[in-house]
Amino acid sequence: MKTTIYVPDIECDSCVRIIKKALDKTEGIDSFAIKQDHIEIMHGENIKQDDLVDVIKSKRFRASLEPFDRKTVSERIRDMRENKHKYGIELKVFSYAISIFLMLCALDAIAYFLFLKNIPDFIPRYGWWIFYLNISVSTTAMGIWHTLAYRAKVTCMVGMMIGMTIGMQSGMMIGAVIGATNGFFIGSMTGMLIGTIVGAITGRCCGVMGIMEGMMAGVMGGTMGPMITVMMFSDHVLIFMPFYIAINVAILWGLSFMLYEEVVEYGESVEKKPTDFATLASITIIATVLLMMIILYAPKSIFIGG
Amino acid sequence: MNTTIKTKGMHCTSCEMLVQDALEDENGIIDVKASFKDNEVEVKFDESKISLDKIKEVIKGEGFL
Repeated sequence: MKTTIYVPDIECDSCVRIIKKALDKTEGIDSFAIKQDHIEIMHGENIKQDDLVDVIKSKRFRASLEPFDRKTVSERIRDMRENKHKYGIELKVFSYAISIFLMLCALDAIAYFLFLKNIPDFIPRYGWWIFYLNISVSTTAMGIWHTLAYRAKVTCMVGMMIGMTIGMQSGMMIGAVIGATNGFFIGSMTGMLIGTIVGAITGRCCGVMGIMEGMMAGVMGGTMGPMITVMMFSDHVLIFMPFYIAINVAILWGLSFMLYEEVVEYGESVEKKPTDFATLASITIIATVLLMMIILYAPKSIFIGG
Repeated sequence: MNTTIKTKGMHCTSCEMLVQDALEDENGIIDVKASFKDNEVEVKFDESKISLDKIKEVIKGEGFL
């Protein structure tokens, strides 16, 4: 008889070899064919379908006689409302992000009244960019926090996706802000540095491949971000920025959605180790202060008035 | 005896499992821990039953040395 077993995590030759070895050792199997996301097995009546699924699962792959169906976005949102206990960390992502953003804005206001109001044309010159900086830093921080909150088996594909997305988006958003305030050179240097570091940290979950992917994406995002704002400086950049930031934030939220689907809900042996809010807030504030100092005191390109 | 062997080309947990399974099938292996992140294998074995060269041969046979 023929049994089809769905195995969504077959990603490389090593995965195929492991499954092949396991099935070769199993008595009662006549032949099998390993496809991209399922295995077709011809076997005798003396071995049950559930036993075949267990053979695959014993090698730490997800396996089922039914196809793996993902929840849609609306189903996921409904599940979050009805089963809040499953989403403790994800709900914290929302609340921490808003808290950190508001905290940064409050600190900016305090800094303005204490130190910064003496800088000529401070608000017209920097107001919007500091606002976008706060959004960019708090969103990036939450993307990193969410990724590092879990210790789990992560496939290379998922790990590279995490490093690439967070590395690129962080470089693009922060690079864009610094590019607008200081020009292409400082914007690119800052964006690239942040993007590669963030990409390496977050891609590390799947080893060297994830680190490489994250760093490459960080370079790309860190240079593209300032390029966009510098080129658009005389072409409605302030109208463009809300859309630009919104899309980048949406991509990072999408990554968190994917992280939950791939690693938490369908993953195995997931350990939760979220960083506490105080540590998160401290690191974010220090990073923001350093970036503000770059905005205010780093060299500026001639076309910005440097 | 404990030893750590540097490997080449391990890039995921499936690679780790291939190495671990292959070594665990050998007589004389007490414990194996493979790491694709560090690209190395920690092996605890009984020298009287299996040699280091044989262990390396097994890892090479899986394509990671």
